[in-house]
Amino acid sequence: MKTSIPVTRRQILAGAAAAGSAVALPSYLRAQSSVTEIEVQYQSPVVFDPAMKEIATAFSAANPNIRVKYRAPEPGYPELLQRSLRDSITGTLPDVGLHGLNRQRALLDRNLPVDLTPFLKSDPKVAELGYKPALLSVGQLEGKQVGIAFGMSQPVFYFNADLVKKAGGDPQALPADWNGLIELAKAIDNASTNTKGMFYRWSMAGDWAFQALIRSHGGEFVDKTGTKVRFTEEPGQKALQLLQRFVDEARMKDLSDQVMYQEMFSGRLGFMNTSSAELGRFHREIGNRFPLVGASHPISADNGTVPAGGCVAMMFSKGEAKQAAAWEFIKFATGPIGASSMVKHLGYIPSTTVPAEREDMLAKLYRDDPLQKLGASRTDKITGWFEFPGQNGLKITQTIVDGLYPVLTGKKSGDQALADLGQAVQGLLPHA
Amino acid sequence: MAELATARHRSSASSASRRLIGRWVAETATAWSLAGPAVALMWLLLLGPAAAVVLLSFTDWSFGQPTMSWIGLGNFREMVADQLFRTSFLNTLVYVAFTMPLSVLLGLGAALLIESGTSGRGFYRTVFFLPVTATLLPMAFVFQFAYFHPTVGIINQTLSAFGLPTRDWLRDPDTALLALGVIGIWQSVGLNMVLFLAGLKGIPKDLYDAAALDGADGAWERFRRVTWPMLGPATLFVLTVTAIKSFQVFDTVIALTQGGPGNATNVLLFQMYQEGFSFLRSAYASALTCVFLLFVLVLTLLQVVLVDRKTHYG
Repeated sequence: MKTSIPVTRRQILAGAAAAGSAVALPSYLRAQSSVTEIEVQYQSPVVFDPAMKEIATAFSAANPNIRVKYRAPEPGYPELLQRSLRDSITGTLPDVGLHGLNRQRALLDRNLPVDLTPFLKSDPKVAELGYKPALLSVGQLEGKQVGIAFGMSQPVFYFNADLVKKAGGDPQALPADWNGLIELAKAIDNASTNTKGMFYRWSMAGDWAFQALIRSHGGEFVDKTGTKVRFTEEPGQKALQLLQRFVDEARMKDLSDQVMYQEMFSGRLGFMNTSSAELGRFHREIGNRFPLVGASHPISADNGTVPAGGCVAMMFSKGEAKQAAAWEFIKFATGPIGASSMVKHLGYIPSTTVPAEREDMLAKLYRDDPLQKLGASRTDKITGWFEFPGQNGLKITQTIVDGLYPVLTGKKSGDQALADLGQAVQGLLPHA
Repeated sequence: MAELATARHRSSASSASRRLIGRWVAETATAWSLAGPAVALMWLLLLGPAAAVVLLSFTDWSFGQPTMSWIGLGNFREMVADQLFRTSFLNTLVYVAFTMPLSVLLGLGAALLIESGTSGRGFYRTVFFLPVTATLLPMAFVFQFAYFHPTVGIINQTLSAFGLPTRDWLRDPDTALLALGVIGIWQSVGLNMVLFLAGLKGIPKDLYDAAALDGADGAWERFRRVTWPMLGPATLFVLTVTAIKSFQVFDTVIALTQGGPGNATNVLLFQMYQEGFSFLRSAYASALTCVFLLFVLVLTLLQVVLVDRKTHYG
């Protein structure tokens, strides 16, 4: 009997190794049957809820051993940032946060996000997700993968096709440069019918539109050391002269975004710039009142770009089990299935290129709605949403809004406003 | 004997002083045990946080940052050079200068009218007091749409009915702060009225009779010679409270204008909030808070000193 079970030394060693590695295994693998709960927080519930609910349902079905709990969403990115910073002090950060692209540095400066580079490198499934390097780059800072873009938008122009036609323009061949746009605005603008030509949402999301103006002229914001303002150089001058031309030539009014939305939706505004992520809202609000057409934000310089808007999924988890579960969720939400839900409900560009190529996912949607396609076009010209370095980064955003305002009211020329703004921002940058 | 007597005397003196000390200790202990809870709570809830804010204002701490360092007067130096601080400080002063006199005068007027009337006192008191009990935030939105809205607001409707030029009150840098002031006045008149009513009740009727005997019979004379001087303490209290409240203007700003347009309605408290919570510059926000606390302190001290010196009590 004893000899009927031959046990070699090698087998014993292997068995010991197996037992040893079982003990050494991360707890989440040992306890596959037990459920790990992770908490996720996002913002703008009105916009995000439908997509997030769909993603949670699909994720739970695919990962029965991870339970996702959504924390009450915050109204906007600034509130979400404040919430996360407060949570970091009390040690109650969620496992995953969907933070604004321009809030990454504020969180990284406080060492809160977990670097996702090791996860991207070691997870063999990443290759199937179809992340584009250019799209991954918006979540990279200081050599770290701070987050993975959940959705990205770009600045676009939406036009009232009826008003364009009435003014002698062609809705199928919209102007691609600023001169053309300004001429079109002049042609549409008509005080007697209370019709306005154009509105450039210059203070959209703080400094996003300002960045679009500077970047599209090929400008930079600060030098490599992050201590010296560079947006006052020639591209910046051109950008602010352009802003002044909107006011002087295209007769753009100093009105609030809310008022201009109402004007646009009710058919009294020729065209306005906005984020491509607002497509759903424009479709909903306009309905069949008039046909909506779109064009890209003009890029005037050869090296010009436009900034990305949107958010990244960021990991805050501590401990291997939670991190692994959070990583599964991030992969799922930013991967093909999550991205399909997100695009359908939100209209952002996803980090993955897979859904756009698949008939069963988004290929048809992109084919049928040219405006969806517009929002996802020329991704090679999209660059990150720049965050000013140092502790005053967030204040600089407001300083820019305050600095541009006098151009809108005609109190300062574009050149003067730019010079003053350059000085103000220089004072807020870190010292060399 | 003499020695003994001296010694006895000395010992009785020392025992007396020991008794004195004992009594002093007991008294002090009693005092502290009685005042202790209040003192502790005051430190915990009021003075402690205030001291923390003062300390924080000398650092460079930014919200959520794991480290901070002492930078002395750096924040205050920055404040002196800060254009935005100058704007918000000036805006606050303009707001106080606009709302304080008007809400005090209107409150006094309402109180006098109600007090001199014979019927419907309770009704008018309630009507004027209602704004105090109303939640300011929703009422601010009511004001925004019902009064200040550029097209459907009553003000512009009325103006255009008479063919007068209209404006977008809350978006116009020249009028936005004053429009917020109107809401502030609307809200504080009620409380001022109640305080003045209480003051009026405290004026003895025989003073009016005495004044009448001396020939001060007209309404104005009665007001000038009796009512107004006798209302001194109440007026001073109302002035101080209104000034401090005006200094604290914040909710209407954040609800209706967010400090805009072009910082025309950026006030001290709003800047404090923005620096601290939007820009995460907690240390600078603390420095701004110190300035604010200083102002409230000065106003309060001013009231105390003036009450002691100038005002008559009935």
